[in-house]
Amino acid sequence: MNIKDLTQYSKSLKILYVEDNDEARESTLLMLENFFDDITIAVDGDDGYEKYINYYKSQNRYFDIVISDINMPKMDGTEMCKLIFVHNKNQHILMISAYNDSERLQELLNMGVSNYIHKPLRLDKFISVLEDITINIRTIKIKENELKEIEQLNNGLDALVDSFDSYVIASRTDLKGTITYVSKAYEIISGYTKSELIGQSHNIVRHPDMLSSTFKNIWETIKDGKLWVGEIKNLNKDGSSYWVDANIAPYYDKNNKHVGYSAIRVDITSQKALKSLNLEVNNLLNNAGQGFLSFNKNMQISKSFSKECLNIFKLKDIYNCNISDVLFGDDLIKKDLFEDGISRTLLSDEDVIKEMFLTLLPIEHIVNGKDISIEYKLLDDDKFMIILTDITNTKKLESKLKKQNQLQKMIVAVASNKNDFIELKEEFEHFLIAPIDDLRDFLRQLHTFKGVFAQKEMVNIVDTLHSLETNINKKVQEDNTTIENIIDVFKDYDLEKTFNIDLEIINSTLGDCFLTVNSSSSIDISKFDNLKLKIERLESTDMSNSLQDILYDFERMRYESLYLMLNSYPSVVKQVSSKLGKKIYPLIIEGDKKLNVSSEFKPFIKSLIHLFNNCIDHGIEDIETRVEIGKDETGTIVCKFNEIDGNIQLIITDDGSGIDIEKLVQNAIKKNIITQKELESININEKLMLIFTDRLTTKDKASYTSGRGIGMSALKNETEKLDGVIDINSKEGSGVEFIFTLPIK
Amino acid sequence: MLNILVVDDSLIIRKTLTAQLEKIGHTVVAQAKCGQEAIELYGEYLPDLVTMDISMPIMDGIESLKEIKENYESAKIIMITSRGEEKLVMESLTSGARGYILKPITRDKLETAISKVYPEFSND
Repeated sequence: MNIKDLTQYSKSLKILYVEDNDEARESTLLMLENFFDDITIAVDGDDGYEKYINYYKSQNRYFDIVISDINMPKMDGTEMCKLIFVHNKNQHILMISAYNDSERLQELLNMGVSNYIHKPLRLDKFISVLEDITINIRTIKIKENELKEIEQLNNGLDALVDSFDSYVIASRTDLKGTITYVSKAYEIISGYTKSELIGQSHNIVRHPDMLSSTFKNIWETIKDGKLWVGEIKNLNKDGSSYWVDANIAPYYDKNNKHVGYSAIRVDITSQKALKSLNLEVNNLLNNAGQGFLSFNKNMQISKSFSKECLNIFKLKDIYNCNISDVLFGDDLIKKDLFEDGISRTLLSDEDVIKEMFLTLLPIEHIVNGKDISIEYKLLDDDKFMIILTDITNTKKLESKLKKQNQLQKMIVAVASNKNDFIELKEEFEHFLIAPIDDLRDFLRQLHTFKGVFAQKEMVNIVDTLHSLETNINKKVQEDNTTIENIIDVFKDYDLEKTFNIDLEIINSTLGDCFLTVNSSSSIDISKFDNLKLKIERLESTDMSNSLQDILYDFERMRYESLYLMLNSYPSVVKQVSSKLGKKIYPLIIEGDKKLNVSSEFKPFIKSLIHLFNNCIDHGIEDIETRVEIGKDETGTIVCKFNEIDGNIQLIITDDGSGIDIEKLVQNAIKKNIITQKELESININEKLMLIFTDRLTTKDKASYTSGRGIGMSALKNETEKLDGVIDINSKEGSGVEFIFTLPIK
Repeated sequence: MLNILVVDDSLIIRKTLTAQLEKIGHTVVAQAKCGQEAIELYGEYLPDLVTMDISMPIMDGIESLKEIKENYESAKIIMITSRGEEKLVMESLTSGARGYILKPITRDKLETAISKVYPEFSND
């Protein structure tokens, strides 16, 4: 060891230097400082011992080297060393002695002081002694570290053995199968204690469910010196059972002698139970006839799903497919709603709100032609579950029921005004084959038919007429449209066929002769009674509860009075107002029931439907507006008639908003019906009469009921045919009064 | 019982809602006709609950909801909605609405929605 290495090491050592002579101390320190950075000084044995103890107390370690004089006052070096060795018998102490002190030096060497140096201190001598001490210290330190490592290793091994014992279900037997060892884990799982097991045959844990062929196979394998791996069901002390995954192998002693068999096992009871539970659940789901599937936050479908899913989607596999694509396909609106809802659900951190998002997702969709209802459930770990149910049949049933109700309504409407209907039928059939010469007249008739058929609840023909009307109006607005173009559009619609479908239904319900009965204004009583009987018979087959009403209506048909002609309007008003969401009191018809009029009035009475439609649609405000402006929230329409000087005066009033004259006039100018100049020369009454002009309406958009501007002009036409006149009184904000004056003839 | 602000542009809905809420036992402290008015009245009355129509003229329910939530973080707002407005309801919920009721409004729907915000008013 060279001096440089030595000092490099020695600098880190902690030194206690004890010397009573100031001079000697100073000179020795000069030399010691070359080797040590950390020197504690004491001036006698007493001081030295005190500092030694204090150092240990404060640093929790001893000085590396104590360097001390022998001959000192109070307590000499020998005394101090004795006390130090009591504390730490391994303390390195270097004594500095005088030559004449050999006796005490001998005593110190016996005590355990290993190094000494004679005075006067010589550098070469000191270095050699320091070298010895240093090597000694280092060796001890290395040994200490080794010991520590071994101790740690031992602790680890103990823990390993311990955990093996507690967690590994292990056992050993001798060659005959008698148990020689079991682990703690084995005791726990089997319910037996070590002492109950050791010395017993291993058959003690054998479960009767296990086949003897399995054990034969085990024995043959391990006797052959091979490892046997497999699942075994074992019997507990309490009679219950557990499943293990076992590894059984021959066991050899230190001398490699085959002395028995050892086995380690893993408990797979819960694994087994889970597996069979899964199987059961899958069975249930697969046979429920519903589609069950789950998907993760990336919209990927999980591995387990019920078989019905594949039937619904008509796919071979849906694992890992995107649920949104699979379920909604090309329906971008539903896809967007679904994906938006799912991502918002994931972002929300409240369960209540998450659930709310799920209620907003699409609940029905047509998949491969089937109506599928969709239920959503939130699972853990940002997963979702979907339950798909085929509701095609339920839907079909519902729509069938709805259609049946509709047909029933139609039958009642037709049967309750038979004459009316037969006339209507003839008129319509005539209309279908008559040549079209006046387009306006044609459109007017078309519109009236639509209104009247709607009154008869004949939905099929009404739908067709509405669509035809819309298409013709489109055509009319195009440039260069000729009447031939319109006729082409008209011919594209097979109105006769549509109408015949409705007729057939009526015939098949009410009997063939119902519509073929001659329809004169006076009814053949015998035929009527026949019909009545027929319907009574129908009633007994329970075709319709409403036939009772029909019978009543038939009775009424004996009278040919104006009152009865108007009598279908209360139900029309009720029907139209409920369609439009308006609230209106039942229509009251006031007038002499015995007042009879000619059947020529009928077309006029029929065309009144446009007026009632207009009153309800344009006149009566919606409920809310009425409340806001302080009116009764339910509107009133009254129809009155009486006879004055050979004329029939028919008055229809409503308490609606009145006619918006400004708008009416503006529209008239816009449509070139009247010029600005002409407008200046007419009075309010004449302005109001504009409402009867063809194609003029105060509505911006046509509804199913009114707004095309045709109906009112049809009414005007019919009035004029009877040589009648119309007066209008309109008070803006409080309603309109229409007065028809018609000669009785 | 709760102090409630009813927001709807339709007078009829305001009337029916108020009647229904009062039948259940709550107090309607104010009614607003539009989103802007709702913000003002919220500040004035600081109600326990707001029923907010989604589609209203001038300022719609979502805008109003956002502004109220911005100023009063703890505001409890239930949206009143019609079928076909699902996307708007989703946006409302993301913006802090505490529930929604699909028209037509019934007493049952009202009670369920309120009990989700205030579980102490649950019937069970």
